[in-house]
Amino acid sequence: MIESFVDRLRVPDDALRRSSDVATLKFERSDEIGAGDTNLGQDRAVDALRFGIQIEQEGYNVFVLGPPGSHRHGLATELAEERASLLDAPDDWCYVHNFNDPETPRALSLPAGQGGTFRDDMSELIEEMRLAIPAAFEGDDYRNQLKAIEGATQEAVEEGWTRLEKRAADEGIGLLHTPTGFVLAPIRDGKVLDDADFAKLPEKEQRSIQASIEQLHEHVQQHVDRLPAIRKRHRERVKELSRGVTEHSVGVLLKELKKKYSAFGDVARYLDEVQRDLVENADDFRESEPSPLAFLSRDSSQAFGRYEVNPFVRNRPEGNAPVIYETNPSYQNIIGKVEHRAEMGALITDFRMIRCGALHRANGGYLILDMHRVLSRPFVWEALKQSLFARHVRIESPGDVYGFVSTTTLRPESIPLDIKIILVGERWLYYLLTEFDPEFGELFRVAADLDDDLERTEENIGHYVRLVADRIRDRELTPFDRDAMQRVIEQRARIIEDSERLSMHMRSLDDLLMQSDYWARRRAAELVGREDVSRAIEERRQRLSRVQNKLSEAIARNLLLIDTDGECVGQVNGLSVVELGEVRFGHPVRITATTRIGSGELVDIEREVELGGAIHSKGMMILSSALTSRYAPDTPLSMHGSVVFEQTYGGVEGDSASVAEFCALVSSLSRIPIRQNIAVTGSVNQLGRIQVVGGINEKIEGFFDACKARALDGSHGVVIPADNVKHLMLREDVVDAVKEGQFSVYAVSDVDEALTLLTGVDAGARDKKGGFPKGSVNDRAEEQLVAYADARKHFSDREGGHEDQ
Amino acid sequence: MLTRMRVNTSQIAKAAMKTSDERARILIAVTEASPVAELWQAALNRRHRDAELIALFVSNDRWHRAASLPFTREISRLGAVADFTRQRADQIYSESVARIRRTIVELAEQADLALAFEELSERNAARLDELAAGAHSVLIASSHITREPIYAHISRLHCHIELIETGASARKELSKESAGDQGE
Repeated sequence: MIESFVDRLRVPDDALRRSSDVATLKFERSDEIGAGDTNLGQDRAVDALRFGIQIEQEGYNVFVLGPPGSHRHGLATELAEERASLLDAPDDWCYVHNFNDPETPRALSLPAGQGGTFRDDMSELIEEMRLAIPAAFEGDDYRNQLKAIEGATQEAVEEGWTRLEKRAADEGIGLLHTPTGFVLAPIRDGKVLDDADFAKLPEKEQRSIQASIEQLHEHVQQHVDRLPAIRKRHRERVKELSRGVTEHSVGVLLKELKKKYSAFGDVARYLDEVQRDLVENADDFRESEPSPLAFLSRDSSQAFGRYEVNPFVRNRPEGNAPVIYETNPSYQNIIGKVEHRAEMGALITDFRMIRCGALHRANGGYLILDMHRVLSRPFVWEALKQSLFARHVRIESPGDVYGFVSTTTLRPESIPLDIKIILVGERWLYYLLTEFDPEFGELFRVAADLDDDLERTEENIGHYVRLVADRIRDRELTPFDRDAMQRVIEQRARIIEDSERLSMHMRSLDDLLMQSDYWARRRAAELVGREDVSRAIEERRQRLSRVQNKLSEAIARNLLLIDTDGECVGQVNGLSVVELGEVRFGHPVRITATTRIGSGELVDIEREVELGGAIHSKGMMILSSALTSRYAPDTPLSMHGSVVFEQTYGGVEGDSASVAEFCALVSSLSRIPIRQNIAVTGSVNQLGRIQVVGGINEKIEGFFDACKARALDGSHGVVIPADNVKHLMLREDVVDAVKEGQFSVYAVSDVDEALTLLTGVDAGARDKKGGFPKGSVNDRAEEQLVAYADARKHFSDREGGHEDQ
Repeated sequence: MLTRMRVNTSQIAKAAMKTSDERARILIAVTEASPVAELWQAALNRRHRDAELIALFVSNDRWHRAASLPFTREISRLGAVADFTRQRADQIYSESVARIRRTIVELAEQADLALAFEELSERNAARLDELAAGAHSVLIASSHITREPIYAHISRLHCHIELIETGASARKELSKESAGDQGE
């Protein structure tokens, strides 16, 4: 009876690995397969992305949710480019000098392609000015007029002195010029009188001389006071002359340019300002005497530099709206920056050193950013949100924004922002931002959630094969034959842990294709065959198998105690999965349980020593509940039980061992030994039903490898939840062993099936009277619990009714 | 005081005494207001081989005389008024000598010529007779030297005297200087 029961639970070998997908498809090699849909299985995400990209409302930016390698960037780029191809190229943006406020360079927009032209036009203008203006100043007309002005000024100065000198001479006084001023002294016979000569003069004459000098002093003073005004007038007249000369030259040269840009109001106004400034500063264009201190001499190119144009965003007129993927979204790469150059120990900058950021380059189009990188770069997220809210982008250094520094620097005019941001990130980032950043929801109202997998239907297989063939072609790999394609599909189901679904993780698909191609090329094959794909999978596993091998070795050397034959009370082989980075493998683990009389407590040793995770603890509590509800429901649970994962020194997480733990406890209670040639995995609910667990393939393979190392004898096998059968995509060698009767996989739905399989004794179901069949596992377990209860009552009565004592 | 560039002072003094009759000399008589560059150019035009170049700074004690008067004051070009003291007179005089000397020495160096520089006061006018004694000597000065007291002595020299008409330009220079100090 037990044999037939066991056979009924045995999973048929064709359910261990599904591998007949491409049988109906008509192709022999992948290069015969037509192009497919690159966004296969992502209909929901594609629709969401299209919606987000096309809707022209504020706040409808997009967040693409998906794990790395899921083709999320490719999808975002493809759809953004699809839309951008229908839109015209946005305007160019130029920064120019602000003549009214030099620290706030002006931003000018011009139609796409004209920013560079405007820069060239202005450069040409400057070059022409450098020739035309000096030429105008060297002309006879200018020179004569200047000479006349200088002559008039000279005359005005001279006339005063001559008059003073004459008047002084008339009174016998000389006007002597010192290097810094004037001295009035009495003169007789052309000679200045000294004190001795002066003393010899009659007193009356002395007084007269002194009075004259006093009076002349006042006149000299008056003339000296007039000199600045004369000079000022001189300067004004010279400037007026220069302005007149320049005005003519500049007017002629700018006329054409003004006409050319007359349609662009801002540019036309800017050109008016240029004209005014050129006229005001015409001297800058004239050759000046070189300073003896070369480093102090004026660099004329810098003076002309203020008329240059910095076309800092340029688009091709025949192009479309930009789609920019900024791989390094640092603050400066996003917002732009003002560069500086060191000059005589100081940092100098001007509008020509303003550099655009990704927001500027993508303005009028789409900007794709990796959210993880955005958040890991300081200040970027806040700056991005600020720009989106303001719908303007302003170039400011973080130091200015946050007040870290207070030095004067440029504050370029902000530029209107018309952009769609597409953030690409993992799901947890999206949920985290939704939860904790209230502004996130306002700005990113569209979520495009990429599917991780695709249903493995016949129709989808056809699509999937085309997708694989496309990627083989795109990467110029050796074509795959039919079997190789089948093997690829099997592996894609395997990595998603579901024989009924296929992984949509594109990077791992590409890895598999490229590595298979490598092994095919190594053997100089014309086509990639199944063996190449299998080898790629196996070689990858081998490359990452150091820890797995150590564990296998430890089991083989009995360092890690795992029995694979015989029977033992309270001891069962559980199965665990280890995940180390990209490595994932299963291995058996011994679980033991002990029971004795007690007051109903079940000790999870892992939890007691804080090696058990929350889910594991939850599983233990469910297990405890399942146990108490199952046996002796009318009797107080008077058992003390303890369960432990033997020889585990790291943490234990998950509830996939709860069936094994349950069986170990029942074995301990019933004293019925458990077969050690069978391992078990699965989680149990309070009603004894067995539920699915993860990593089913790795777990089965882990026990298979351990048994195989000690020679398979046909008795070995694994008990798994029945609902996990659909996830089976076992290695071919495991499937082969099953086919040969060397190994078995059993699917169970409740703990009774598991107990029967593991003990070889019928678990037993309650009869109409509520009792279990005599001698069954459940009967013996319940019997023991009742015995513990009686014994406990006996102790309690003897000690005065204090049960808890 | 006699100095000479590239030849030491005592040598030139001896040479002057020993060869006064044989060697031609070009004497450039400069005052504080002289246009040195023009006088130098005139000297170069006059110079012939082996002619000895001597710059004579003709000092005028008018500053010291004016300073000796208790009521003399200096009005600066900025309008400030200060007593004109002996110290100020000394300062003006020494600065003038230094400026003239620096200018003419630079000109001589540019022309790669040897030049002696000597201060000549009114009281030491006899020294002028000694220097200008050669038959082929020439004295070059600006025309405004005629207003200097020493001109009475110069006019009696036997050597050739060339006066450069520079009064206007000299004055012009001073005017420019005064205007320039007003903030240009």
